[in-house]
Amino acid sequence: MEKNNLNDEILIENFLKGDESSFKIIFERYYEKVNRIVYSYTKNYDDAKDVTQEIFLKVYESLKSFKKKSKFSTWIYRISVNMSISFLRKKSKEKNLFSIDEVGDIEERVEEDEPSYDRKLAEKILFELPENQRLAFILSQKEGKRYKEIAQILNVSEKAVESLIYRARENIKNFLEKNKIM
Amino acid sequence: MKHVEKILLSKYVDKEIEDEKTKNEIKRHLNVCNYCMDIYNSYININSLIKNYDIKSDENPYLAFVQKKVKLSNSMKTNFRFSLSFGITLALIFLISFSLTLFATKRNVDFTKRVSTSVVDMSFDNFFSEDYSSVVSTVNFDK
Repeated sequence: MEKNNLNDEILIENFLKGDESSFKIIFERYYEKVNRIVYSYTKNYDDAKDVTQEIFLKVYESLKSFKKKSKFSTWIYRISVNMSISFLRKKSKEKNLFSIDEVGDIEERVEEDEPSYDRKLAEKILFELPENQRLAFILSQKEGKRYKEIAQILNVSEKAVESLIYRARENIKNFLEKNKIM
Repeated sequence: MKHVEKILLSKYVDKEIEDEKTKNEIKRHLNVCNYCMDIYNSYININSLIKNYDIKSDENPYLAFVQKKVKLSNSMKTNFRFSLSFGITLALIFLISFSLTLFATKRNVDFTKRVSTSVVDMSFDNFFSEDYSSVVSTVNFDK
């Protein structure tokens, strides 16, 4: 059986037995997903990249302590959410100290590749949403997670996820109608 | 006609309704109600729009990860070496100062001992010297 087809649990076991290449597969499997989650918090590409790297370093160090009570994907998304939130807290503290940083952010954004209209629109719509609605909606629509799993990742009840996703839909619908997009 | 609750429609779009009966009721209702069908379609359109949400991917993120990991492990090694040498130096300083203090204290004790011994000797000498002898001789023991 090819290594790429192995499930997460087997790859983790292999990694813990000393097979570094198994971690590479896990990394490649989750990098973009985690990066998207982080970006939905940071709204800045470079910050998202740095935080994602930090997340994988943390995962690399703490895979031994992964108790398999939940799915690996839930565990890694949960770490991503926590680390993104602490990054934002840290950044907001720093921003208060050095408000001049804003200038750097704008310059960085100009250097990025111009995304397609649809991508830009999707991003704009998502960033109009409150943080929890945005994340719940991304996890559901982009990552294909079930409500139960999203509840575990966000540490809320399933009912709350139901409501977050519904409100996200309604907010997007209103935004599109207001801007006559749909 | 009673419309389907929007929150239920949202769950229906995500295939999160487990109860077959409810699912079939919604399905039947959507076939006859334009109002609910419009909402359902708008939710589906939103989903397909959000599917476009993506961010630029790096050329080789794993390489960057490995470099970061190596850098971190090197800095940890350096920190460990620094802490180790700092610890050894501190231990040496402590040992040296402790032995010096011990030595000095011992010397002080010897010196004090010597001084006190000589003071006592001197006192006895003085007590039984002529001056004191004269004083002693003047004391009237008979009283």
